Amino acid sequence: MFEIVPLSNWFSGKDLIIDIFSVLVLSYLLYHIIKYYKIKRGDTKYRYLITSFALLTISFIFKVLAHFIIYYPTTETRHFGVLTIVQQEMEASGFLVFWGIIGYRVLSLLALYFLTLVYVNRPGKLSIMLTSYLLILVGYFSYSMFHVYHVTCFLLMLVITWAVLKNYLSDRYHKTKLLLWSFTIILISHGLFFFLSLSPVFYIIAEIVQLIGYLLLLITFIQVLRSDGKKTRKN
Amino acid sequence: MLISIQKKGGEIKPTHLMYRANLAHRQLKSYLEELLDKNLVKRINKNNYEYIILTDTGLKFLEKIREMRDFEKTFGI
Repeated sequence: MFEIVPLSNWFSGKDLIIDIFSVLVLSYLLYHIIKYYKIKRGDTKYRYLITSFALLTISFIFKVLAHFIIYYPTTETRHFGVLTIVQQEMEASGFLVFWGIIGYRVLSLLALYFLTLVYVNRPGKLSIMLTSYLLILVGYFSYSMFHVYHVTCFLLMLVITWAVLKNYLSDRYHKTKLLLWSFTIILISHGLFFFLSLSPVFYIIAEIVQLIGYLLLLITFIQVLRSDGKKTRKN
Repeated sequence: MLISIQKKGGEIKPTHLMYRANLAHRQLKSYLEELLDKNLVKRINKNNYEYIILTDTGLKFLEKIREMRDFEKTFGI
């Protein structure tokens, strides 16, 4: 089952804004990471990072499109041949929502997997392809079991957060601490999505927590951009 | 080399650059040509001495490198 939850009126449509904000943050980061990659051309870690952020950005675009169709369904009524036309539009809507959600889930799972590859010992190409295939299956079949998707995301985020924690403990850099908070909050948001079947309130909380997570990610990156600080004498 | 020039306030004599960047003369010549080609540094004459100075492009490039290193440190990559 795809989680279409009855939301409170005040929150209806706000999740769309949260997801658009996430797209903007991720695109901003992606833009700068690509710039760094141009300097360190050929660096595998950067390649994985770019793949991960690109997939995550596209996945959120899929989610935004799917939510947009849900919130603003196109059911135009015409007086001649009404039945045929309305039915076609409804079918098209359902088709787009289905592929929007599947696209979002598959791409975000792959994105998180590629992010783990930045931190863990990199496996061979065959292993990466096999894991990617399994994650595509998880994403596809999670349409009827959304828990599976959120648990898998949670586990992947756990691996990433653990790696960042180890990194922070090794040099106690204050910006890494901010990043650690950001990843931990995103991790918690995936945990909260898991409880969606208990109450729709969890969806609202999870979306807000996710917003805080991406906001912190943006703040962390802005701090990195400000680090160029000491401008010395020009010619 | 760029960092060495920047540490000297943005301009340096070629010989000093060679020592500071710990390069052999041939290496210095080859790397310098590359930096000049990419417009990251330029040669000027001051008080009958040749100096190598950082260009705006060179300075911006150094800032980008510093930003990238901080990004790598933050993300642990």
